[in-house]
Amino acid sequence: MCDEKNILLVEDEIAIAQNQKVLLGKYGFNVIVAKTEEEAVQAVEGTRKINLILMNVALSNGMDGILTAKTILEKFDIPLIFISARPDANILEKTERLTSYGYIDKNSGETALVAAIKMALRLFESKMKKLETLSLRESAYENSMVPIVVIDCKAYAIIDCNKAAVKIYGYAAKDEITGRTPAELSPPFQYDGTSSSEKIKYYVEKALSEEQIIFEWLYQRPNGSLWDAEVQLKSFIDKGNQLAQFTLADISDRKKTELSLYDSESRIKSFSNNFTSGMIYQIVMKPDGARKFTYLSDSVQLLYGVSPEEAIADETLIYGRIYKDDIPGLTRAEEEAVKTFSTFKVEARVKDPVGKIRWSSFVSTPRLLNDGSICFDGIEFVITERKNTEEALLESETKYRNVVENSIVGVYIIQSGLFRYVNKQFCKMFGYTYDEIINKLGPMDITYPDDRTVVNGNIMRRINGEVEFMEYEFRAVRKDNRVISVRVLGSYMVHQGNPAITGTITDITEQKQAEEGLKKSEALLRTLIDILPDLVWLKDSDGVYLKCNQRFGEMFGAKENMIVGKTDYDFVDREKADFFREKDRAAATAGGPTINEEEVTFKDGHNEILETIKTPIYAADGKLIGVLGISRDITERKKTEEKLRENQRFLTTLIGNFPGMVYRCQNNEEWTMDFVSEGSIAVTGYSPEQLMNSKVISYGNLVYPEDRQMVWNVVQSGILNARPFRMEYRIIDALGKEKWVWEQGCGVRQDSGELLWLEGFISDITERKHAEEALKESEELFKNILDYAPYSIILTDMDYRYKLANKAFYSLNNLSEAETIGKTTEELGFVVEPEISKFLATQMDENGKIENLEMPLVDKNGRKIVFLYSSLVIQWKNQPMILISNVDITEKKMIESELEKYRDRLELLVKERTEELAAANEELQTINEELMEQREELRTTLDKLKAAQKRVVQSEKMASLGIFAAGIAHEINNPLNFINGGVYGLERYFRENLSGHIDNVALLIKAINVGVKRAAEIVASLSNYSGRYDLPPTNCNIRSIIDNCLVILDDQLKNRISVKKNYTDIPAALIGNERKFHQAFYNILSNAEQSIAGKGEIDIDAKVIDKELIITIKDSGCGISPENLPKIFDPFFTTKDPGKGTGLGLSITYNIIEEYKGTLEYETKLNKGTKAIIKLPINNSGKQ
Amino acid sequence: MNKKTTLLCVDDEPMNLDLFEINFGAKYDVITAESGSEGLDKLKVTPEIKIVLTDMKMPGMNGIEFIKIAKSEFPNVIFYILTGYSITEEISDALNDKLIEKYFSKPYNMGDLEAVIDEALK
Repeated sequence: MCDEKNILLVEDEIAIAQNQKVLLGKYGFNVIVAKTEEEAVQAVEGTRKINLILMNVALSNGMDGILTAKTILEKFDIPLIFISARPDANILEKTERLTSYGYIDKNSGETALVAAIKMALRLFESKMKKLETLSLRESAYENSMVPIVVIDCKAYAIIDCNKAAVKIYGYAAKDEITGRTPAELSPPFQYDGTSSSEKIKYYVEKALSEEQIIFEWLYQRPNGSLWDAEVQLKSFIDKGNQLAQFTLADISDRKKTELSLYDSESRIKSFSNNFTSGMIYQIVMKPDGARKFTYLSDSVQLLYGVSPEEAIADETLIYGRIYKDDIPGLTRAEEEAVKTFSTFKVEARVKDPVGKIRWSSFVSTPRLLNDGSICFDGIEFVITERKNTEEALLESETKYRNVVENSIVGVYIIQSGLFRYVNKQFCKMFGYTYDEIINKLGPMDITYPDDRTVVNGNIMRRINGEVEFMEYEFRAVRKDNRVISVRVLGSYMVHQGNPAITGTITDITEQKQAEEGLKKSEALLRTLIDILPDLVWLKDSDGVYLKCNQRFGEMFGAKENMIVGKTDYDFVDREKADFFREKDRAAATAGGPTINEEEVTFKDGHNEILETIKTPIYAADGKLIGVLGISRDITERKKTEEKLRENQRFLTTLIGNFPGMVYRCQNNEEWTMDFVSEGSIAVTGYSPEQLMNSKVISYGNLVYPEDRQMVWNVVQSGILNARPFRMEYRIIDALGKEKWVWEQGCGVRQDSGELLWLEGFISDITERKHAEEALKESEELFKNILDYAPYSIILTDMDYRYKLANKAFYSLNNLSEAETIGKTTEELGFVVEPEISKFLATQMDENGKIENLEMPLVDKNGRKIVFLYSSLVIQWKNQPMILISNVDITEKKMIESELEKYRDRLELLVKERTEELAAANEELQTINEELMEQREELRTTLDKLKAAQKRVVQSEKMASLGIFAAGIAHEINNPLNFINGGVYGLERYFRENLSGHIDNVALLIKAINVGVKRAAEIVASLSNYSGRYDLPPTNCNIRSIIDNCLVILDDQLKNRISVKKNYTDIPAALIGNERKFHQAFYNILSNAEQSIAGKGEIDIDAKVIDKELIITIKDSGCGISPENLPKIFDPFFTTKDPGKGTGLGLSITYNIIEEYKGTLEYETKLNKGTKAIIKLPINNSGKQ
Repeated sequence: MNKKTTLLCVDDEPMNLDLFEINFGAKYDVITAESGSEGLDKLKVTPEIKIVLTDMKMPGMNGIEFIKIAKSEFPNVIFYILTGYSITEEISDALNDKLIEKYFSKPYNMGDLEAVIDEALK
């Protein structure tokens, strides 16, 4: 490369110029001399590049060097050095304004000049480099695909933005946006209802304090359309101004996906809620065979009596209810269905929440999940009703057709140069009405003139059969003369017997425009991209990294400087690198942006699904620089989309499984169908296509004319009350046949409450209806026959309660139906003699029928009637019933008996007399017997009264003793206290003052103390009557109480008395005061012990009879004499020696047992022994 | 400084009060009162009282009623009840509420009483 620099020397003195030229030539500079301004300008404009200008300030030929320099520098950016012989301040100032490359004295010599020149050249070179970088950055910002906006934080106004921002905002030029605030580009209010202008201020303030924030924002384009943005806001300071940068991303699609997910979920919900005669479920079968419900509609509560949550937690709540014999069938069907992944349907019996068996139909479709599990989407229908009347209804086709046609594509048929058919979208695309196009316009009419040759050629090639199918793009013209870009996919066809071509046409104008924009942009992204949330990088055509941002660096876990200069092969495995390389090449050859998705593992181990846009970048000369990549994390969006697809699949399967038609329609009298499932064929005979949008016929027209008003009323009332509507009505199907259908549906409302549409399903119940009608007719006939019979016919249940009676019965007996049904003959006022009733019952039991029995009875008015009675057990409505017929033969009988009466009159009179006498005699005898009986009864009562009185006296005695005891206790205790205190004082006195005498009085003091102690004990035991030591009742273990008493008595018992215990199997617990029980048993056992003088035995037995615990304590002691026995419960009665017993023990025991509602009795024989019988009620806590 | 502990004995029976003075006078300063209200007056003018022994059944306020009032004004004084009855609900509650330390049933042993008081004063 020739490194020679060209220097333009502007000097009018030839000698000097020549001198300089030679001088500089030595240093390798090529000097071109210009003597005049014209020459100088010519030289600069010439082909040779001038690297530097040496400009003499004062030129002698009258030209001004400074002016010349100014002229040149205005047009060219060339370093310029002034040369002057007489530098003064004035000139210096003038030249400094023009150049910064210096000023040199003419006389400063060779070295200084060369140094100045070199310095100027270097300076210029670095300046050029800087400029280049600057313009590069500006271009990156300006051409970035990421919309970027810069605002002034004080005025909140936009001061700059890039092209992408202008485009995304929907404007044509930047100056339409600058100066406005972001709020002005938005609707007045955001989703949450806050005003856009207030909210943007809030975000900007927030960004100032937090440096960088991300939020979602709703914008509005000038054409009125709304779009959602994700805004990244970052504040920065530039030249002392507080600015903020908005980076925008259009997330409308994501928002839409989220909304449709919500819509889809709510549809499933609304669908499920509508469906109450069955249940919707989803169950997942793991590869190991384990099953788990993942979804159940609310009606599981109705069908199984458990909530969806309970059933999901424990699937046996459902499976356990399926009839055992039907499970193999169900399992087999499931296994078959899994083999082919087809829908299965099984009917099985299920036990419902009240234990009744019902028939259910399970319809379900399996599908394979990612982890190898199988998911069944299914429905359970309760079909018991249907089973009872007729066989199952016709099953519907299972496949659910994709109802939503891809209507954004235009469709056309061309024949003989004219359009013969176009669809709605085609019309819309070109701005014509259908009628304006059909048979009037040809393809050339809508083709841009320049493209007509190509289009015509393509059409001809198809008609001639040269190609069967082709795809191409051309420019088309709309009715309003706007030019649009379209893509056509066309093929040959035969239309009405003649050749034609058909195809689809798509508007790709916007796509084209975008491509144009991309082609124009030639950018290396840099300055602003580092803070983008996206990964941004640039590779050259050999895959070597040229640039990347910080976020991209995170993926490889390296800084930019570590990545630049390297390739993917330095960072990821070969396979992955090959994949990236492949995508880069594809992007380069595509000539425009390409998008692909890939899952990438970051260096720190986390995974992200990235949507990558790769765009080839070209230099201005059209040479490929490399490929620019921008990746966005779409992990979240992917998840949402997956969920949406899952839901749609679920819904699709559900609808397909319905025996009947599922619909969505408008609330008008035509019931215009927006959507109808395939089931419509079975129900109406029309296909979904024929019914949808009332294409062939509206559903409203199918409804039987007389039923239309009713259907309308029921639906409107359902909508008004926000409740599902249900009804049965008739329709006329495609074959003109009348059919009965059952419909259930509901209104679907927006959140705002506005009615959107109706949803529901319709099933064919014709067969059931016919069966019902036949039944009704037969019943009618039967009733007529009954009603015309002249005598009573009655139908009763097996308890002889009237269920039905004919007209004759009501009129003969003057009864109404209301007062008859449900009653028995007796309840209706008839009196039947018991013997006759009994006879009737026996006859019916033995023969199941009675024929012509003469039955006398009395009616409610006291009239005697005789019926010729016949009855028969029949089956009616699956129940045994008794059919009775009564023919009134009273009159006949009366005449008969009248005759007989006359005949037998004499005989009768004699007989009557005799009988009367016998009766009187008998009566006397009876009275006598009765008197005897009464006397006996009186005697017993008297005995009872005596016993009761005795008991009353006894308990009265006890009660008054209690009160008395409590009263005197205090009065005795006080004086006893004086004695105690006094003796204590005396003893002390003796000890302190008369110690010599202490031994003499010791016995006296002891005597007083013993006396006081004994007196106090008697008082204390008396106070037991007062019940003062009541403690709360507890569970007392009677066994351990008796054991305990025996332990206390052990000293007296051992080696002398053997105790036989036979109470181990009695209930241990009684509720009461343990101390009292203890005292009672102790007293009894103690008496038993004391009654035995030498050796002997005590038997303790216990048993429970009639909720009573009966304990007997038998001793072989001395017994009680008959005269003492009545006194044993009296207080102070004792046969023991003084000091050995107070005579209070049994009295207290008696009191305690009575308190617990028990009894204490003694049986005794002198010198043989005594038996105490204690009876205590179990579960009786006594007085509380 | 080895001053004797001061006791207050309340009883409507003067005999009992005399016995207290005789039996405890050598060891303690015994102050007596014949009713609850007199007992309260004595407590107010004699801040040295550390122990109070009171009869349960007295005309006017009974032993517990007296202690309830006295305890609220002199929370640091220790109270004992002497009763001619066995334990009643009222006494049981007073024990649970820590109004009294202990109760003694008549006839009680003066020696026991003395031992308990000495223990409490430790």
